[in-house]
Amino acid sequence: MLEGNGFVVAAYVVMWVGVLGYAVRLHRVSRDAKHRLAQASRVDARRHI
Amino acid sequence: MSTARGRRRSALAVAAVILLGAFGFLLYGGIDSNVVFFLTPQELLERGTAAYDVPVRLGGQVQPGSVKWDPEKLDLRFVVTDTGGEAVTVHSTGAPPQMFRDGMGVVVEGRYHRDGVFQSTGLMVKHSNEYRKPEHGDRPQEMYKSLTKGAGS
Amino acid sequence: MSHAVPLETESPPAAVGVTRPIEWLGLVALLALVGAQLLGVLTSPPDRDMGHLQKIMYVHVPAAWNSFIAFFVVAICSLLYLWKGQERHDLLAASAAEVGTVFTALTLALGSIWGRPTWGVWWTWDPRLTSTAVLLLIFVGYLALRSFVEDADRRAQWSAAVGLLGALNVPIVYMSVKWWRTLHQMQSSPSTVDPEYVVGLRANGIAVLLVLVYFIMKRYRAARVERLAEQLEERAALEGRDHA
Repeated sequence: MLEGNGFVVAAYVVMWVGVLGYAVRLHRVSRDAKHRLAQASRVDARRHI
Repeated sequence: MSTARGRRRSALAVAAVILLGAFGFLLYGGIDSNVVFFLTPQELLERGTAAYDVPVRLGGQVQPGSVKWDPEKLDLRFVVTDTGGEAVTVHSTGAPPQMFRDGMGVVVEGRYHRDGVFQSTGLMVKHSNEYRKPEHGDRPQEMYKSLTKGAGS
Repeated sequence: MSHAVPLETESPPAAVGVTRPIEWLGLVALLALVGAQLLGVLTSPPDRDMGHLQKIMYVHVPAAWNSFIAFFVVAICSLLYLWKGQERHDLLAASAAEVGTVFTALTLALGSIWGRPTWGVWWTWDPRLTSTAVLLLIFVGYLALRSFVEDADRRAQWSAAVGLLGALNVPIVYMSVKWWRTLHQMQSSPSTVDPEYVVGLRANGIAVLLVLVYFIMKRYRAARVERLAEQLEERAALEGRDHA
């Protein structure tokens, strides 16, 4: 048996860090986009009343 | 305004096609035979004196029974062969990758010296595309075939 | 008022907040990924050469496959944009490109972790690795380009061109192991892989595909909202200039 189990663990950790890290980023991007739109809508509504 | 935008768009499409074509030609037609990641022993020896003392990669199969490993001095000697029967002796220091063994495909970085020994500065083991349960017998010949595909004859 | 930019999008701001079905897909994808990894790790025997290192195949290969799928989406959407000029194709291409970039980076990192104990090196400039690195760089450039160009039309056009160029790399990366001598092995197939490993690999491929679809849809939704906000901001800026 090769002494490779550390590499296997590292690979699965990297995979999950990548997937969950990007999921968290997406969550933030969505939230920021909604805030930005809400802000822009408020400005726009004030202008058009 | 929309027609101007449309014209700009089709101009861009044409530019993209030309770029793609050029890029495709470069990669499919232009480079193919010149890019060689490693030389086989036969190709190395065919170079004659031009092969000496220049950094190259040598790829082939570790000749079964040729491995001499001195664990005290971390000194490794083995012979790399190809299907044509050409063989080059390789000298390497330091522990080899753990997958290194008789019959395995290898790619060795280093220089071929006038004394006929290839001095390794880096040793890589090539794995085949096979994933087998342990019961199966080793099939180094097939690994070797996949290693030297495209080798000039 | 004649300077007002008409908002092209069909969904009003209020409707954008509805995200429930997507989050369900995310949950299913997450569970599928956990399940597929457990299946792969627990049911397959160690490989005769590599031992447990073979288990890295279940994350490296699906990441690679799915990055290819993402870039295929980029290619189709970029072509559609150049043909029809519709904003949604541009935004979908951008979303797929970002997700594809993440999976390509993962492919390289995971391959490197496998290569160190198997080949003996973390990295070497063989054609498969080099072409994959080029693919990654082109799409990092694509994303940088998008963040630098402020004019939406120009951003979409340039992105479509770069996206096509980048996606053209995918068949080159795929074929590199057949066209050139490489350290990387050729594509495995069911004839070179024992069935014990094939099941786990397919399950993981499908699970990562679900993750990919979730990521792209979620990113696309955010991109639509961003674009809508951008249009409102542009309109406000234009009117502000008129009033001054």
